[in-house]
Amino acid sequence: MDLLADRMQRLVDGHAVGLTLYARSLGASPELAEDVVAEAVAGLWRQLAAGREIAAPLGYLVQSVRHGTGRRMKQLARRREIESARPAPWFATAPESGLARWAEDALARLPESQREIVVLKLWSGLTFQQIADALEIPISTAGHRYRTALARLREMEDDPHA
Amino acid sequence: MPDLPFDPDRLDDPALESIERKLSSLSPTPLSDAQRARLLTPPLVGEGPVVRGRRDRTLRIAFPIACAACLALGFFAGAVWQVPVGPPTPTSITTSAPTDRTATVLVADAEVYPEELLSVWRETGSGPAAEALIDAGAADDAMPRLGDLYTEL
Repeated sequence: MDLLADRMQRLVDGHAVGLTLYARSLGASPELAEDVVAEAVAGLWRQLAAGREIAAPLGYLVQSVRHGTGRRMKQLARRREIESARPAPWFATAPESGLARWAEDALARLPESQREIVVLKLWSGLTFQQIADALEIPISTAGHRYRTALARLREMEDDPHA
Repeated sequence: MPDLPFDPDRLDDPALESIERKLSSLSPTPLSDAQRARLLTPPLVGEGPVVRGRRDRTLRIAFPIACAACLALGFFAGAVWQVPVGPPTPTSITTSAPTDRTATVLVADAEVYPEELLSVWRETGSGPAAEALIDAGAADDAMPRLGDLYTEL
C-alpha cells in the first residue's frame, strides 16, 4: 500500500495541476475541474488497489478526466445549471502580466481538438505518444494538430483579431 | 534529401518554437492545499464506493437468481396445490386430471366419469354390431352422442 501511495503521490505531484488545467480547457469550471480530477485519481487508486495492472496510469487519468468532464458538462447542460465561469485564471502568472490573459483567451479560441493537445503537451507533461494513446489518435495527428495550434496562436499573437 | 521519420517533437520553425517557449513559461494555477490533500487521500478500499460496487455486482447477480427461484417456486406450488375453483355454471364443462382415465367431467353439476360415458358408447356404438349399423348408414342415429348424453343428464 505504501508503494501504491508513493506511486499515486508522484502522479499527483507531477500531473494533477496539468490535468486540472486540462479539465478547465475542456470547459469545466474550477470547482468542476477539481471534482473531475479527484474522481479520476480516486478511480485509478481503486483500480490499482484492486490489483488491476494499468499499463499507462497517466493515460488512464487523461481519459478519465476527459470523459468525466464531458459527462458532467452534459449533466449540467441538461439541468440548465451552467453558470458563468468564475473568473479564476488558468495560469498562476499574474493576469495583469498580459501573457497569461492573452494565452487563456487565445487557447479558448482554438478548436477543442487542438487546444487539448497543447494543454496536455505543454502543461500536463505528456509526450506525443502518451497523448496519442490517451486520445486514441495517431501520433502524427497529434503532432499535426499541435503544430496547427501553435501556428494559429502565432497568428493571434501577431493580429489579436485574427 | 532523404525523408526523415516523422518527429512531432521537432517543430523546425522558429516562429512556432518561439510561441511554444512563451506558452511554456506559463505555470498553471497550483492546486490548493485542500485539493492536494483530497487527491492524496486514498479511497476507502473495502468500504465506501468499493463496497458499493461489490454490492451492486451482488445485486446484479443475486436479484435475477432470486426472481427465477421465486418463479420456479410459484410454478411448483401451483402444480402441487391446485387452487379451488367456484361451482361450475350449468353450461360449463370442466375437465381436470392428469390422464383421461381418471378425469372427472362435470356436466351440469353432476359428476360423470369417462368410463360411464365410454361404456354407453361401447354398448351401442362400437364393435361388430356397430359396424353393421355403419354399413347400413344408420350409425348416426344409433350411436348416442355426447351432446345427447348431456341433454339427458
